[in-house]
Amino acid sequence: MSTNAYAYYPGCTLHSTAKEYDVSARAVCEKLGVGLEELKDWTCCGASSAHTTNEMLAITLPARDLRTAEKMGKPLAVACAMCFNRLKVTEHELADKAKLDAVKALVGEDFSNTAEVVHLLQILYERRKTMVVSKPLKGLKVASYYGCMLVRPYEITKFDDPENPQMMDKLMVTLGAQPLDWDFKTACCGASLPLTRRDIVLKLSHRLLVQAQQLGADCLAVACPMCQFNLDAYQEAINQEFGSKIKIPILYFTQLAGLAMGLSPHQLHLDKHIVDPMPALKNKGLA
Amino acid sequence: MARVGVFICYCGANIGGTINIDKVLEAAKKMPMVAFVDANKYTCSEPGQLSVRDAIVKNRLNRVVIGNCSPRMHENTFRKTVAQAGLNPYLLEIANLREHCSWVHGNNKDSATDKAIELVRMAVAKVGRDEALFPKRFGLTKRALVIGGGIAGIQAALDIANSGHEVVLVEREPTVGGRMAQLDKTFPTLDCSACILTPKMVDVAQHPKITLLTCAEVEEVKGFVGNFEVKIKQKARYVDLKKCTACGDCTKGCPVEVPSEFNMELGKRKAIYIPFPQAVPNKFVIDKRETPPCKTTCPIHMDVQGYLALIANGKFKEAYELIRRTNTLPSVLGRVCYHPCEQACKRGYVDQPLSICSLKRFASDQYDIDSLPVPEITKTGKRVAVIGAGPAGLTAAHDLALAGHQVTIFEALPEPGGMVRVGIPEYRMPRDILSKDIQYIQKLGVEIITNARVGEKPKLVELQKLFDAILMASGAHNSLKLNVPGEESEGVFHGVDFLRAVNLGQKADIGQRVAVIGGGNTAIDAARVARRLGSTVTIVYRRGRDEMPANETEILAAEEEGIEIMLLAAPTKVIAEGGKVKAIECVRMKLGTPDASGRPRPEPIAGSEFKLDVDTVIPALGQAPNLVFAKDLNVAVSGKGTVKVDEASLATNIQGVFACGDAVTGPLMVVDAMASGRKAAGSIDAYLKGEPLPTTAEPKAEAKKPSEEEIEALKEEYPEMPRLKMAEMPAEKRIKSFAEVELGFTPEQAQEEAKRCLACGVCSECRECERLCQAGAIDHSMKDEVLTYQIGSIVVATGYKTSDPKAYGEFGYGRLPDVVTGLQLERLLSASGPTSGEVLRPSDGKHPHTVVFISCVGSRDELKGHAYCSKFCCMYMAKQAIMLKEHDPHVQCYIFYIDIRAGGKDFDEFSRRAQQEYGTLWLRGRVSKLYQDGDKVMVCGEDSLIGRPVEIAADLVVLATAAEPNEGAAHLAQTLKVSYDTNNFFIEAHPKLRPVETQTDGIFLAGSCVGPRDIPESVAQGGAAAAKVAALFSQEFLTSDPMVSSIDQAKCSGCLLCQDVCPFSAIESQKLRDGRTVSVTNESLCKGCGLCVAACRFGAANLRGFTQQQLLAEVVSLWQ
Repeated sequence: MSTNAYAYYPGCTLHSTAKEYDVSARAVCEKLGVGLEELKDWTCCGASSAHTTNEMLAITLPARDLRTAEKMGKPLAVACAMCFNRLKVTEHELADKAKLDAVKALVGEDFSNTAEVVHLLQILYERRKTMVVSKPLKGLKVASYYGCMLVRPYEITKFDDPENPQMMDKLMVTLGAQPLDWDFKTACCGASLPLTRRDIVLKLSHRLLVQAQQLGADCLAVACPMCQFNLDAYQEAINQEFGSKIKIPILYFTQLAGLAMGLSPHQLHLDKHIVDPMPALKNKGLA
Repeated sequence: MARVGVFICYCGANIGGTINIDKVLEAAKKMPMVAFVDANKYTCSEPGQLSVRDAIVKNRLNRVVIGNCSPRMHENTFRKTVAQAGLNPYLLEIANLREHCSWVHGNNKDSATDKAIELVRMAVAKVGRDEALFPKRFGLTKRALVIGGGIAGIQAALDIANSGHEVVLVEREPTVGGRMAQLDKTFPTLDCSACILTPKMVDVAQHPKITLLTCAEVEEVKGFVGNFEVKIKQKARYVDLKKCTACGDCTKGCPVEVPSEFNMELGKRKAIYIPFPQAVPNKFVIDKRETPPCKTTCPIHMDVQGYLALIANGKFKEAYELIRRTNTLPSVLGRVCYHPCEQACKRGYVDQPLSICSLKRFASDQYDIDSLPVPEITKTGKRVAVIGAGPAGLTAAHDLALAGHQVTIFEALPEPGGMVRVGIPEYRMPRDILSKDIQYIQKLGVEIITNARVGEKPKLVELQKLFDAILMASGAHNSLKLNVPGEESEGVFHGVDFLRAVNLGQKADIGQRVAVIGGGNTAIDAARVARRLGSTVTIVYRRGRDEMPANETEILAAEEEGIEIMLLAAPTKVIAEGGKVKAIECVRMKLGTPDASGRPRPEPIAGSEFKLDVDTVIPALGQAPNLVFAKDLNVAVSGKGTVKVDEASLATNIQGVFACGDAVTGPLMVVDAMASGRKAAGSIDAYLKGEPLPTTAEPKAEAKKPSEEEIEALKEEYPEMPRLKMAEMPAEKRIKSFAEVELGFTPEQAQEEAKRCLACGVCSECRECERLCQAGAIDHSMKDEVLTYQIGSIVVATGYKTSDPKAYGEFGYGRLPDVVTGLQLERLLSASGPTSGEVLRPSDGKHPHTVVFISCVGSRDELKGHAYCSKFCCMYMAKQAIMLKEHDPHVQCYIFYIDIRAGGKDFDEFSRRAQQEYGTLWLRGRVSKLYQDGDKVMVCGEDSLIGRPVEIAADLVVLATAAEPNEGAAHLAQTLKVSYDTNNFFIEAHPKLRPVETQTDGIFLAGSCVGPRDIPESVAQGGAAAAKVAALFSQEFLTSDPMVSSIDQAKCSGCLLCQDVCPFSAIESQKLRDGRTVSVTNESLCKGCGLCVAACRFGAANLRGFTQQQLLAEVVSLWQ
């Protein structure tokens, strides 16, 4: 980490369904003195829709944003794990000159594929030793949920240990919380299937929420808007389907960081969650 | 004139199918020197060889070229053929028309034929310049070396020995047996592994022709087949094999427990142990690693780890006795030592160092020294005078008394103890405890005369007449002056003098407002004493807090007692009124560049003077020795005012006079003085016995700082457990008296604190085993030895280990307790294992009901593990499934497999039996994840035959890990100069036809060091290797390959560059009669690699059979 000025790629959800992620990320970065300059005229990264339909489309959409970041001359900070994954894959694919040329022709501009793509979790993790934690999250048991997209494929994302990652857990320690040692850190939540195959999302999300509950988690910390949505919005449906009694708030790691750094629940949009986090936080005297 | 015969082989269709043989023959006829050409379908066959022989004789050929397959195949064959026809076998050349031509250019027949013609042309040009070569003969030693005492090595050793030859069997572990000894039962017979193995182990130990070396490793191998010289490092066992009866008394008393390697870390063993009950040799061995850093750093090298282990085990008396072995004043050091051991303690890298000093005090407090027996001493009749009854003098006296000499100590002060008595205040070192320690030394026969100041009465000269040796241990009691105006005023009371007065119960009047100048222990001591006498005290120190030399705990205690510490200030003047101190003028200091001591030089800040109103000034700037009395004998004194001594022996310039302690070094710590006294005693003892004095000084003891990786590993292994804080008297209470401030540990606290010790050296040298061994078999002073053997042939049988499954994070090995490896399950099944043969889950000790095996963890995996298959896992999983069911009929086993490899005899039937008779379910698919769910391990896998994911709630999961070559295999291969592959397996000479030979003559292979092998294969190979050795030894002499380097001494310039480049050290120097030095080849060592030929700039070196002229001729022939 040699810079504090990043270009910022919010991705589609951060301006809509994951607004709280965007707000909390910006607030925390401001506190840390990290500048986030949003990319001008950014395009959707394509997410699952693009890469399941058309290979060229799947790399050109993110390439356009890589080009913008390269022009800005700053490393590109990404919040959503899927966007991060797509941008990283694109970066990897464009090492092939033929593909790069084809993409450049479609984008209509020359660029060199030199933009550096970094996830917000990495940015916070690298600065954890100098963070000012004025309200440590003492006694809060957090299950760090990384999801699939950050850590896989390992050769492309090169993000932490793919089986037992530690970045978010170590960050939680800095924030004064107690990370749980659990086996579902990178297990899939059902991804983009809630509308088409709801049964799969319910099954997978149920499995990992049950594990977290068994270990006594007060909340889950997540780094992906899709995961947050699946795990948060469907807890009722899961309970109905499986007869379970799960009620675990799903918070973005940036929201937890913000709380620990003294920002208010209101500032961090903690009211935007379906499973209300306030009871759990109040229970531990943290809000 | 060369008459060359050219014989082209069709090799069936191998060559003939691609190359136009007729064309080649036509071309060959026209080549120079060719007298005869012929072609043959299968030249290597009997009729083929016969036709070559006939042709040679009939056509009077004197050179032969065969155009056929690679020389690696048949060069030797045709050398024999040619020899049978009466020619020297080295007048033959092979043109490789197959591997180098027809097999690689199959799609271009015309070019292949052209190339074949060129190859033949080159061979003809070369053979024309061939010379007859004659192999040399050399002798051989008929003794074999077998490296590795597993089943392959054992079999090889027995077979060689039974064929009548001597064998040296070297095994790295304390016992033979290898992996087979760890197995419970063996497939497919379900024989008890130990039952079939141990008779062979015993045979190997008892065979008259076998020398069994355990705890031994091959260090160096020089030489060549028949004439190897092997150096073997025999590691010290610390147990005498001849005396040990394996009774086990020692192990009961050993306080150190570490994970057992034999039980794959599922159980524990002691530092003195036998790996398993049937071990051969059935003798104990002590696991001693490096000397722990605490012992290394301690100036008197106390057995720190030892007494900590004893305290942890509640053996306080034994702890005290161990402490006394090296420490003559344990109650003292337990209170006042500056404990360098704690700074070096590795625990400090995990959380905090052990409270070694306080634990030593605890052990000393438990024992009443008055009841310590006095040993029997044989008097020598020699008399020694010791000047000074401080810690240096007392320690020296103690040692000398035990050595039998009569010691008299002359102490100037009214009481013995030196600085410990008169410098250190009572609240740190209670008087009576110190006196008791000193009284014991007197019980040894040491006489202490107090109030006897040497120099006044008696004089040094008198002592020289009355005593056989003198030891000057007078310490450093002179206080250094402040050197400011007004220093002589009343009220300036030097710290050393002040403390002495208080400690001796003399008058020590000080005022109400005291300034102590200085930052060392003396300053703190003086300050805290003054406080107790009721004064307000300010310490004035010229540098910063970090630079204060006093103990941190002392500084904190002083602050707690209300003593103010004024930093970065120094006095410039003492202001007196009527001759009495009224105030001191000070100046503020700033820290500048470091001085000689490494600390920043204090520099006064101009214009910052200020006054401090005080009525007493106590300077405590340091001490110096008082050596006025030394002038009597002209003992040399250094410029610094200390006694000049020889660093190694502590002898002064006057014969019979020695010096030690602060008198020599200037003020150091108590333990340093004691170390010095001990050293002096050793020298004096030698001197009195007429032995030579030591000439080399002991190097400064410094413990190595552990590497980053080591610290990470320590942090991972040991959870944080902070150091126990010593209970102290509260500050307000303690300033009212001189009662001891630190209150000591309770026995429970001491044990808990001592248990934090990491046992860095494993064996702590506590000597309990020695004490308990009735056979006197323990010898901690044993050293490693190097044994040299002359060896004729070597068999490598170093075996395998299993891979670490931590690379597969998805299986949670190391995190989930009920996930074990195959070898670990073997130990659980084994009656001699950590659970005595009950298969119990590591997590809760319950019997598992559902056991899931996962195959190929680390094998058949190019990405994360090894590409190869480990061969025997499919079989042992079937075996383990059967055995689990035999142990408990309610068990259900599942095996996730890719294939079932059961190719050996009775193997498939066995595997099927596990399915059909024992209900084992084989599921064809891989496992993606294991996770903990309550007390079950959930196995998420797939059954690819029904195309569905499968999730099993297992009680125990067994990972079939890969077989890898044992640790150090690559290094051994390099030592032997034998080839090994990228997996570190040894490479055999030919995988099909020469499975137990290497490319190196005389070195053979057997067992899993070559590739994963099961027991029947390993035994067979051991026997095969033995047969090769026997064949070698059946000859009276061996012949060497004549294609070696030869140096033309007329051309050799003596630059010896060839010697530098030769990897086999085969070139030696020779001095000719005309004085020139030239190179000469040792033909038995030379392997014909040709590096010397390339290196020689004078063309003096040439390779017979591949001379430079021949190679040039080959190249030139291509232009014809």
